[in-house]
Amino acid sequence: MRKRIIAIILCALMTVSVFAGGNSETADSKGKTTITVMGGAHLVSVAEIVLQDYMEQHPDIDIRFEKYSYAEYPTKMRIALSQGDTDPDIMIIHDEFVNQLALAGLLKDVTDLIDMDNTVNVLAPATVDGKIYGIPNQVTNQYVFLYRKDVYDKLGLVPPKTFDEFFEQALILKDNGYFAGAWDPSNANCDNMFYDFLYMLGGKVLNDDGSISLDKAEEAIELLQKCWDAGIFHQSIQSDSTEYWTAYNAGLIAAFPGPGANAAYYETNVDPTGNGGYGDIGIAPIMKFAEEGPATYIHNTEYWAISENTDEPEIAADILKYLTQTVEADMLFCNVNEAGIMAKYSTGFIPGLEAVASGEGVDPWPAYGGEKVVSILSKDILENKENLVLPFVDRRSAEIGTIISTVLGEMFLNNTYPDAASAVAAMKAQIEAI
Amino acid sequence: MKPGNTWIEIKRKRHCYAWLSPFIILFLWLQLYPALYGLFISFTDYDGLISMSLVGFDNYGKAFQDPLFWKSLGNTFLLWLYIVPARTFLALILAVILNSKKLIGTTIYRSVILLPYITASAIVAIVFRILLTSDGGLINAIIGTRIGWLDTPELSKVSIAFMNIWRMTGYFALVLLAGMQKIPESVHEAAALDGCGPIRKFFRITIPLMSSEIFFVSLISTIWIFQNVSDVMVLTNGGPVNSSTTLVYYVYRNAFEFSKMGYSSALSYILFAMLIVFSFLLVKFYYGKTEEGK
Repeated sequence: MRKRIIAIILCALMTVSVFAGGNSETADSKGKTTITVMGGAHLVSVAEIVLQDYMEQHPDIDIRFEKYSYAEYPTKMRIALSQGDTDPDIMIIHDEFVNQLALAGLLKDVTDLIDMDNTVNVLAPATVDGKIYGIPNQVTNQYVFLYRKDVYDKLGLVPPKTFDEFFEQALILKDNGYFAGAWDPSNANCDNMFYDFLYMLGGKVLNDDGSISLDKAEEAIELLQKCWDAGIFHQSIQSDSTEYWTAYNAGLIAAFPGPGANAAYYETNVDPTGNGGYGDIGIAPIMKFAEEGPATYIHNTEYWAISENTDEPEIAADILKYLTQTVEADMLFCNVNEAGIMAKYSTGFIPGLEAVASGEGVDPWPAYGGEKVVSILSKDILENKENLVLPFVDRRSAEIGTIISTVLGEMFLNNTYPDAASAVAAMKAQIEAI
Repeated sequence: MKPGNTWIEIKRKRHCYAWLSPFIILFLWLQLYPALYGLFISFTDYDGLISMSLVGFDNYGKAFQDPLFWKSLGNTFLLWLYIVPARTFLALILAVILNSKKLIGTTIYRSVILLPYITASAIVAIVFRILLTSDGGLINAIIGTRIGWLDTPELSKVSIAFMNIWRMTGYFALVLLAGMQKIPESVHEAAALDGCGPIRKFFRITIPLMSSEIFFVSLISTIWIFQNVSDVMVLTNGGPVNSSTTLVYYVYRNAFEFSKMGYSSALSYILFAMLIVFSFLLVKFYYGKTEEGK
């Protein structure tokens, strides 16, 4: 009998343990209010550093940080929000997902939190029916021209003003043993350079109403083909692959136009003792690709948002305002470099951009010879703030990227498409079938 | 048994059911319910958030017209073809070596060959990326030429197969070793008395008597290959140009990257149906053989 009782108790314990770990309470045992911030590991870690002062000033608030890989966080977020979980309260979301979550009614309207006169207008992906559901995080991600100043000085070159000038320089660099960028049509991310060319030519993938455009796509592919045939690119994915950094640190790459966010990668990935010109990296405005094209475009951005399910909307709103609408936070975002976390950028708050652009209190960037690169990027955004181009993206964008990468790969590696027109027709047909 | 007797029997063994209840609850909650819900979702256009309207068999019809579905299916079968025969053969060789009486320190070797299996597949994939990277990769550095192990459509699947074989062979070798050790020594001794040499003994005695273990290894290998998503995800991301996208990776991408839960569930059920047919054929082939043997 005793054995049976013990067995039943054990069974009951095991069964109860199945249901352990239920919903978390908002206020913990010490009376603190708990707020959860969720998103991709890197950007949440950056926020954790930026919010240190805020947490010291608000000892009654316990901010917890949930970090996931970039492949994983949208799923975690979608599951938590759609199940009605009260966590997370605050999220950092890439532009292609914010629209989806807002349409699903899972985000709070944050229109009233935004000082519209003092925020750069990159709010389109976070706007649904005239209401704004996200406040921009990193806007200093515009397309810029990065290059090796030492190589350019040696060869008597200056940063190009037009694409034709860039192409001529690239041929000179090639004759001297250097590549002018990197692109690999076999890589799943090869669509990124296509976007750079397309948007700089004044084209679009999707119109602002979500319809398919692909305007200037043929011209973008033809330019890619011209560069590829001329052999000016190293075959790797620029700033984002082991192959690229191996080639870069071997001194093989002298020009590397790309998004401003990538500028920080050179601070951490260029070997000071290698041949990558550490201390001699330069930054300049991107060349014009076409007369009607923009001066630059913002590659992508992320948005801070509040969950519709949060139990603490006022506190969440206060934290969001601090992160995105204060000069204090901007001055912290532009200098993050501790505990293995490096991210130096400005948010879309204009007084913050102005403070960073002034250079005061901004750390110098050693790989760029002490230049305050984030100040240059902020100044550039302020100069172009009336005409900023941010591509429209939505939940289809990941699949569209896969389609574009596949078509480009098939065209450049397998000769599946004889010309740009047939490649664009294939892209269009596949995107329409999504 | 009368209904009344059944109830008495259940009452008499209620502590057994109590012992089983954690598993039954977990099974119903975490296995059966999601599986049935997945089947329901496969008939909808669910996007993972709110939109869910019934679309009938549209997702299934769409799958058969989707070129990437056929490509990923073909890639999966090719990977199966690359991996299963080679891995089973290598596992058999390893088992023979570990079963050898002349080998000293077999316990250590048994632990060592299991190390790749117990290492997280993401870590293994990172190590293999370092080994196989075209520029700066260790293997290319050793052989002194640039081979696109991961970035050419011809070699991407070979690289995945190579990593998978390295990672899993040790585990299957131990399964085969267990089968090998259960063969009575007297059988080998009788064969030796009849003048049977070691190679003949291996092919005429060891392998036929291990057919159930070899069958188990082939079946589990097949199921695991069809279910494996991490190797492809971490090593090649399905590229280049989808040359290493397997069906289950395509399922994953549709569900979690493209927010197409309905379509992804339909693909999962197609995969499930194929696995059942495949397993059934393997079982039929195996029992057909053993019946003939009798």
